[in-house]
Amino acid sequence: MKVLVTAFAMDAHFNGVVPLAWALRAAGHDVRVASQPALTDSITRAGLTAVPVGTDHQVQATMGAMAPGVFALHRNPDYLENRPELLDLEFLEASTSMLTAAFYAQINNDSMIDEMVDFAAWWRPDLVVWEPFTFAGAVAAQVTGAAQARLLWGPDLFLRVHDRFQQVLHEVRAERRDDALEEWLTWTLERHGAAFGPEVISGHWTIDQMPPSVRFATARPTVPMRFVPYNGPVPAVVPPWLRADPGRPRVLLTQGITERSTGFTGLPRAGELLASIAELDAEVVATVKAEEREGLPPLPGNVRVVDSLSLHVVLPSCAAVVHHGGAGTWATAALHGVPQLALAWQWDDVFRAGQLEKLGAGIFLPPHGEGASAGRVRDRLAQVLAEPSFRQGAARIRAEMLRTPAPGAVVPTLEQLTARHRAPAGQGVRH
Amino acid sequence: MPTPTSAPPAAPTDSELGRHLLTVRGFHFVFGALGDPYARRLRGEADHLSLGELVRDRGPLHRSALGTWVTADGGISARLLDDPLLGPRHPASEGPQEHVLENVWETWRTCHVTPLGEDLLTPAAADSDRLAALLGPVLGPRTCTAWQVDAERAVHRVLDGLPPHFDVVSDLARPAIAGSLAAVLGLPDEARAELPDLLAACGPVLDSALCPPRLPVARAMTRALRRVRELMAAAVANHLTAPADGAVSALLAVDPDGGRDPGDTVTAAVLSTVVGAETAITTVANAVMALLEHDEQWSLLRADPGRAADAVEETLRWAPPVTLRSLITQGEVQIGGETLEADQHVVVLVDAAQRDPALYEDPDRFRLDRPRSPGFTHMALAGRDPLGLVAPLVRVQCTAVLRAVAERLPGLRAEGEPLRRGRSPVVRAPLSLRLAQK
Repeated sequence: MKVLVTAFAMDAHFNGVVPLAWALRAAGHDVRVASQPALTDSITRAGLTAVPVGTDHQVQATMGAMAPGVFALHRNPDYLENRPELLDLEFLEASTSMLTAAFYAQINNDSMIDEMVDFAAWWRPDLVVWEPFTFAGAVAAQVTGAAQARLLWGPDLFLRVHDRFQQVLHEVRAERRDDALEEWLTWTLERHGAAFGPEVISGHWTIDQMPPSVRFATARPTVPMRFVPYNGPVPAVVPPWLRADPGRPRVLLTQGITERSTGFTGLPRAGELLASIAELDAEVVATVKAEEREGLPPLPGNVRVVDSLSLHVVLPSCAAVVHHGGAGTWATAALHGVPQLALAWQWDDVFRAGQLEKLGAGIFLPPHGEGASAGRVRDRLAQVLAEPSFRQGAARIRAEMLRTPAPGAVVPTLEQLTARHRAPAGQGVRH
Repeated sequence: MPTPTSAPPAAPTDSELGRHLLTVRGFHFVFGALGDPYARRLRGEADHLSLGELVRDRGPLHRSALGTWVTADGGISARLLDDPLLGPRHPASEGPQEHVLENVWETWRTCHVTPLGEDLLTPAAADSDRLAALLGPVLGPRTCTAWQVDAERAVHRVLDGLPPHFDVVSDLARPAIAGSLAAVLGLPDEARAELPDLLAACGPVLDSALCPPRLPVARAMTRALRRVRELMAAAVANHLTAPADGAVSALLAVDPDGGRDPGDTVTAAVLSTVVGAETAITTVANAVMALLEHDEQWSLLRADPGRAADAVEETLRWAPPVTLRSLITQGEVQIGGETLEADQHVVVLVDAAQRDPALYEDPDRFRLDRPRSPGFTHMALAGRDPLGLVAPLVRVQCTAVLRAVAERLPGLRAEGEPLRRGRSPVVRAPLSLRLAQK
């Protein structure tokens, strides 16, 4: 079959779709990866075939202006706590309005959507696999009659909150219903002669890469898939020092790629943090970006600073990892059974970090306010290293993940679902 | 080489308009979440009066996070609305005031949010003056009461058909205002029949200047506006060939040899229908709600329905039908200790300003006998812009309804809680309230 895979141009969101794209390719299917031109290089360096569509999005600029307000709204009525009753109409309307304006409609800019639809109308994919915020893929599928699947990189908070919003909206008089996301998708689909349907938000089904104990229960069709790490276009090279026994536990300290490029971070400054952690009896491996390295104070001998490193290369040798809570870092550590200290700041990061702690596989240290001083990070890390229960907890999550079918093993399921959901030839709006 | 003529701006596509409305709405929520009181006001939080207090606490005039200058100070608000250095348009600009095709992420312009395709709400000063001169002898502050009897007769016809349980907006205020409007203007039957639905669709016009409606609502609004203009143009054409009763013929008869454009009469009728009716419907509903909440004032009115005009005036102050007035500086303005450059957006929080304790004694009390100096007009309907132009007719229509209600529905009571329209921070338009006659 022909599979169009899409993720908006942001590496962390693209990385999560790569292993399935490889699996589809290796199973003999035709795969194209569509995104804004800025992602073309990342796509081709992942060994995939790129389809640049539209012009680059400007989400960095819009979120730069809007982020403080977005975070101010979302920190308090915290839907991550599994208490949907906190999500009232006012909050959900505000959340959906600002995220649609500042994020969804920005990362899916009109020219990107339009060219993706044009490409799909020409190439005729059987299946569109889209990153869960890349609604352009949903529009292209809806217009051309392709089957469509969302490919999650984290727990499905988005759809959970969306479902809650629909439930709350249902209780409101029709004139008062205000759903910015549906409204935006409606006029966007109408531009291409198609009508809004719930599948442009939920897909025909969802592919979920989270371990079962970190997944939300849902009645929707879901295909569980094992997370396979892909770290992005950094050279995945095994450095010689990795094989040398450090003689003490190795600890990885890392910021995610998104945090590194956007500056949204909950981590204390690298120099202070490294000096503090280095007081522990451990070998500290830290990824620090080049410009921050220049400002570092002289570091003790047990600290090894590297510019970048493939997580799946180094993590199997680590006794613990300290990170910002991002999806890729979290899942790579989980897959390798490494206990985690997560300084998670926002969104799904917070939920995953909380689950980690609940499952006994690590500690969630909220970095807000004074929460994550260098000293507290060091003390929590010492705890993670000292108590064997964390490694046991991490091993349980690893076992769960290994029991889940790997990408190659879910391909036949995707073939069946595609056959069921694809519109018969010639029945899309554009054919 | 021929000089290119400047084409009117192309009508935006659904995607262009939708994205613009979505973005501005996003701004309201983002800055509302950061606590900016004006942004919170625009996002439509229910407790509008507390937000007005927050604005007043920030000083006589302050710059909101959205870039708009905001005041809730009674004295400053009155001066701003009266100052010719503030108007509805950007200085030295031509044509309809629209920012749809600009990048709001760069301009941060949150005025003139929704294009109407015409200059209805943003006439140039000369056009306003010409309309005021036209309206003066017919529907002006000193002449409009002549239509009181026509308005009352139409209102009574609506009350004749009122069921025992009814909705304050859809069964009382809207039909009564539509009926009295048709009677006063002298509209043909076709227009009368269409008016209630058209008024509902045009309802968001005043709100839409500051608060983006949902795209389908914006489209329905501009369609309804076009239809109103067609109907009014047809009515004016009829009156031109066969003068009849009603204000339309009277307007056409003003200074017939002065070369007046009948188009001005059409515009006057459209304004009365679109801006006037929304204002009047809201005032009637707000007045009924206020009276039912203040039994002693309701008793006063029932005992003397002739005080209906007092009830209207106090409603215009206590629960104004326009709670935010949007202005643009036409030149440098020094006020409230600030120097505003030309082309700055200024918003007056009318609801808060009209409860400024410095201006009103016991401002939170709703009382029919509140003293007023002659010629005084509340800020909600002050000024030379379209609201000021339709104010006399609005007062006549509302007085007619309240008088009739006081006479004929003495046992009126509420059966539930009032609901307000979404995305209505300017008008805070009532959507519904169930009432019972007894």
